[in-house]
Amino acid sequence: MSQVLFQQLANSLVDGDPDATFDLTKQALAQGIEPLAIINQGLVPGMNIVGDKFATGEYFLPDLIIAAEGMQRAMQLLEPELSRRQQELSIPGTVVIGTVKGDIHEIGKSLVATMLSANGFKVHDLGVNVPTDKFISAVQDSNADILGLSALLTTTMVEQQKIIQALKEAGLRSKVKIMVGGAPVTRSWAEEIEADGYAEDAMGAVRLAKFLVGGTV
Amino acid sequence: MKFEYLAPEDVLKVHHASLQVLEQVGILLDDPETLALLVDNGARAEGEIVFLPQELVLQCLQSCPNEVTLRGREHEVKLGSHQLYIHNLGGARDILDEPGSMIRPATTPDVAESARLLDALENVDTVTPLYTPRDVPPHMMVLTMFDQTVRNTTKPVNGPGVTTAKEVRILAEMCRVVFGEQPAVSMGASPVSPLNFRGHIAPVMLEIARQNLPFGPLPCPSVGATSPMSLAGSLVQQNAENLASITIAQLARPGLPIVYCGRLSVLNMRNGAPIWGNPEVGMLSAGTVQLGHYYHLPVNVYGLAGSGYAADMQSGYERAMNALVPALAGADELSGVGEMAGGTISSNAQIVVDNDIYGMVKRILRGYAVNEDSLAVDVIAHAMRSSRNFMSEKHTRTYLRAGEIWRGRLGIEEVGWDMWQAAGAPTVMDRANRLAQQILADHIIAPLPDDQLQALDEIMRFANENH
Repeated sequence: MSQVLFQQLANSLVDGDPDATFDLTKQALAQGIEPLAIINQGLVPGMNIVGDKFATGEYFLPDLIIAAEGMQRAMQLLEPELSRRQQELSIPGTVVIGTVKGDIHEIGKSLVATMLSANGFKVHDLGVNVPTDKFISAVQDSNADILGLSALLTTTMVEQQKIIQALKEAGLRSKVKIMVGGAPVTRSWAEEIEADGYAEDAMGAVRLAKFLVGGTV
Repeated sequence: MKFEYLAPEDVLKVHHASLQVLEQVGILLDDPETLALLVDNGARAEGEIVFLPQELVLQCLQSCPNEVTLRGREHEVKLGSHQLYIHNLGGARDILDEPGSMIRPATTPDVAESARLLDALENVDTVTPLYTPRDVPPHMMVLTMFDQTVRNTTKPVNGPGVTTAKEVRILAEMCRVVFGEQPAVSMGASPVSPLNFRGHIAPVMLEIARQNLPFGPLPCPSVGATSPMSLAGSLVQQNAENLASITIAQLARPGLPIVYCGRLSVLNMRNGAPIWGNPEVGMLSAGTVQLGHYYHLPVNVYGLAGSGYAADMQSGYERAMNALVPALAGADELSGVGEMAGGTISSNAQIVVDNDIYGMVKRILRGYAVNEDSLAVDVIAHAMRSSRNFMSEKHTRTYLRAGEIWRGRLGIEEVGWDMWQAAGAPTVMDRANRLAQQILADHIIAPLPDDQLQALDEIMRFANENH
């Protein structure tokens, strides 16, 4: 019985139907299926199929994003159940991410946040136009492994440098890895401001984040 | 020479759908002053969402003039006069010094030199600051762009993309120094798609209107990411963003000159990167032209646009197609001279190549006359009775001088493969780069009067110190 449900859960991710993922997860919990089983036998196999289809060129970025959203919605139901059982998922790391002060461009940062959380990272998305001190306190409060800084404009890109400087002054620089991104950001800029890495796209950001927390690429 | 890409009834459908979006979905706005202005005039607000009734939008469209004049030190252009004008890309991050070299961050002298090169090229009508210089602090970038450009061209100057109301005020002051009390210098400001006017955006639009500068709202939605995947839906949203910007500007100053702009682009759906060279960019630009003209406004769209990093054959065919389609649809202004790699890079060689591409586009738009003289029955008869060739006909000379056959700056000088090899087998970029160097060695811009230079220096110094 639960095998059918697991299959349907996986299919809902592959088909890009987050509402179905949400409903099926609810249904599975109502039937008394353990949250870890729902994750490991339904959701994860579904995400793996999506990942494989992307790797072979059959799937596109929107297919990944919509599957990731389905996954996130399922986790909203599953996380309270896990903590009620005092169970924990092993996560690759915690990420604080946001678009720097003076810049209200959202999509690049949000795509990276979605892809990171679909890959198991715990993501604190601070939104756009985020002042430096808010980044710093979020890094402190969440004990983040990675800080992601996004900027779309050449005029706001400089904020990335200011934030790294402020982290140094707060004595936090060695505690957190910093990834920078956005249209004007280049490898030489990332090196100049002593960020730990930069990526050209959301998938590259996931690979970089995994590398930065010490896993394999 | 003009064609309609969208059927007139489809343009109307887009128009009505945009009004519906503004009335029922609304825009995002958090500036109290703009909010009060809109609500006082019949808009309805729910938190940070503002719904614009169609009567208000249509009334604001009514108060826009149908022509917009842009004036430089020596030249002016009249947008809306059924003639195509060309300007260059704005705000590139890096420069490619020589074909085949590595890119480097652009600096202040690059802004100056590129303006001087653009000034010399006959198919560039107005000049936008080409590079964002990275040798000055962020608060001086936009001001430096304008300062260096206005010193190095006598053509009309377009404002750089502004991000704060303070920048608008300082730029307006600089404009008045050079162009007198009523400067005709257009300023662009972009809402963030979808439909987001929060933060600095609405205050910037209000300030442009208060300074009475011609305004070009510059929405830049990306199909499938920040606007719908359907091209028609993307046009609807871009049009709604334009109409909302126009409403804000016209309420702040009824009669403010408006240039209806569009910068719709598509993405590589495998990685999210912009691919400006796709054919949809030209198709969407053509639709944008038709919408703006439906409102009797002059229209400015992309034009030259390519995807890749090399100035190669792909860049050539992509930019040519994307420029020609909106040109044929009747665009008043096209952009993109010098654009490389999705607008992040530029180079002197690309600028010179693009001058020739637009030369060809303008030639295509000019067409050719069909009349008794050009039908040339007498000339054919005369040639047949005499030399049996047309090189010796007066008619040939007359039409040659009148420009019947287009002659670009980058025409092939060599005849035959051997001669080309002997010349070092130059590519178009090699020839363009050489020509750019020649032009820059010869082309001198009359300096601004001393009092103006001092006034500009003073404004820049004050802006830097009072940051």
